[in-house]
Amino acid sequence: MKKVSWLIKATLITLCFLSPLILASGCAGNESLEGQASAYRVQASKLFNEFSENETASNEKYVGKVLEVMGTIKGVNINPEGEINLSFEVNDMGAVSCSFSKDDSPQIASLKAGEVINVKGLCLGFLLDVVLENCVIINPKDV
Amino acid sequence: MKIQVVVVLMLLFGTASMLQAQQKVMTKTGEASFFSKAPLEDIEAHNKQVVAIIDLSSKEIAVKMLIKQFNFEKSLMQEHFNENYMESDKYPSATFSGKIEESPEILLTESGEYEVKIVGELQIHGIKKPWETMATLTVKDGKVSAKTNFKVKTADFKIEIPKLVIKNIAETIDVNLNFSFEPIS
Repeated sequence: MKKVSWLIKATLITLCFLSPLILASGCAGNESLEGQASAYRVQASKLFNEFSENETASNEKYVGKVLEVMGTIKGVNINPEGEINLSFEVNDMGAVSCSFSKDDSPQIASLKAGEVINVKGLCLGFLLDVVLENCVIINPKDV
Repeated sequence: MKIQVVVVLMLLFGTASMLQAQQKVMTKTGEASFFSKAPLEDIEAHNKQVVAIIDLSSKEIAVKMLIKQFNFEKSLMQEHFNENYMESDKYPSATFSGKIEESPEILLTESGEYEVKIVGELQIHGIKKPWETMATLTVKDGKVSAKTNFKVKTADFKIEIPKLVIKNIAETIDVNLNFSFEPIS
């Protein structure tokens, strides 16, 4: 009886330690980047040009890293996943594309083409655009 | 010399003459999904942001997708997929470049459905393999859509599945691609 009681207590204590990890792992990939330091601060046009000129080297340098990107807004729209998407102007062929959480939609939707802003996001890679996700707007006062 | 898919994509996208541009079609919202059926678990994931371009004149085709844009029902599986199986920070994209073969001339101005063979090179997890698949191309009202499905063996692309989860993940994955193109103007 004492052995069973000890076993139950040990299991409960283990679960108490593990449950935050289990909950955290269930939410993996959607953490806010607001408090996270950026690995690089870079102009949108420079970022795009680096990927265009050498995708392999740029993947190694930027993919999986949090980047702070500065540039002029090309447009704001909704992507196929229902997330609000902002693109930085680069050239006719591509852009730096930043997706935000649905919670940030009202703030992002109010931005206009031609505005200059700073965005922080996780770099996923390069299609015809450089793709960033989990993006947040950087307050210029915090730069 | 093999040309990187991104160069092919940009060449197809950016260098058309006015006349040829009418015969080039593109999508940035192509859909790719894969399905794994294993004894203990069925897993599926979807990516709705696939880029694909077809030059109907030269019959060249290029497709590119980011691995991290595949969405799973379970976020923990998505994390394992990216970090352990696909190593997507190291190999962020999967690509295909090739040509439509054995098909009649396809014109945007002529509606029709074509069963075509696509031959080229598939790259997944940093491994490139010669690849071919049958696809259905449909032209209707000046627009093109395409769909195909094929099977991929994880071992062929050095995607290692730990023995611990071998009954959770199939060794051969079913892949479906579905694209609705717009003419490049």
